[in-house]
Amino acid sequence: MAEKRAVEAILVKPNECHGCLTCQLSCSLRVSGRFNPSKANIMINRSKNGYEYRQNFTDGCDGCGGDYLCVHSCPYGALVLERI
Amino acid sequence: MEFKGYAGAGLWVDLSNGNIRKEPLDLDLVRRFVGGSGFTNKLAYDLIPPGVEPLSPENFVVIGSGVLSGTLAPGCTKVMATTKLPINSAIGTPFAGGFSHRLKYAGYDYVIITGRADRPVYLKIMDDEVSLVDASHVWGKDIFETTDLLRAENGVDCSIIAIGKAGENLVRISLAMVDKFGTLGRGGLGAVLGSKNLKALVVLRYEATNRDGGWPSEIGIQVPVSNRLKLLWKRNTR
Repeated sequence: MAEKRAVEAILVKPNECHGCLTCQLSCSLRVSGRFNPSKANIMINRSKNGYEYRQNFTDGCDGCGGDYLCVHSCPYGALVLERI
Repeated sequence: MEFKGYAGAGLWVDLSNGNIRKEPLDLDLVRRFVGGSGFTNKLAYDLIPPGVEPLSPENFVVIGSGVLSGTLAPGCTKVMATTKLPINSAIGTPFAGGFSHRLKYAGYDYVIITGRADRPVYLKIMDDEVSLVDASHVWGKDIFETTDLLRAENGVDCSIIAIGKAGENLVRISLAMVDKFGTLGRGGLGAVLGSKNLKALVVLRYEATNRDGGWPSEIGIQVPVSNRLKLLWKRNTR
């Protein structure tokens, strides 16, 4: 029987996102040591109508080596850690 | 860098002759008055001479952000606009949420506006490229329409302070709004901006910025900061 390995993944719930950018700031603090959202590996962009948000990850995202700062800093539950 | 938590620069805009200049942040000023409504009030009280009419070109508007705005510290998002208010001719400070973090990412702690433009304009801040853009196409429109039109022009991720019809017509209880949700509603700031023919202030999205750094913070404080913030967020959200 094949051994099952749990893989952690970030589940994104776009409808819960309020665009507070907390995840982006905590990411940039970890990546660059500065509060600069353009250095972050997660990007929150407002959609065209201005009321919804899109969540994009860059290729540089490594899950903070298992810490997942963005998931833990999200106050709205839009980023959730899932074991699959 | 000397200014930890500050962008390290201020912006002067004279609408009468279109002069725009950047000045370094005075370290002595921020040591004594910290930031936010502290230094905007200090600057406004120094700049505005006694007896100036609030709706005259000689009045100044000082828009500033605090030290912690734009960081992860909760509850520090406010932008302050200190000016001589038309409702009672006293110097006062309306606050609103939003805008301040974008102003700091663009590299400015405060913006000082004076004079009167000869035609409707809006101020567009994109790093060092600060310009006064013709706003005749949004003049006469309300705040939500103006915000939508300026977002269509400059991209949806910009932050906007806009005035509406009441501000243009110098109503003394008019307000200015930040991104359709924050209200700079105290004492008639909209009329002051309207008297200067300044329809809006727009700070562009930070991806458009190419300066290195935003502003600095010590790498050494990273872990304690994030732990403290986790605690704060847990306390605030449950």
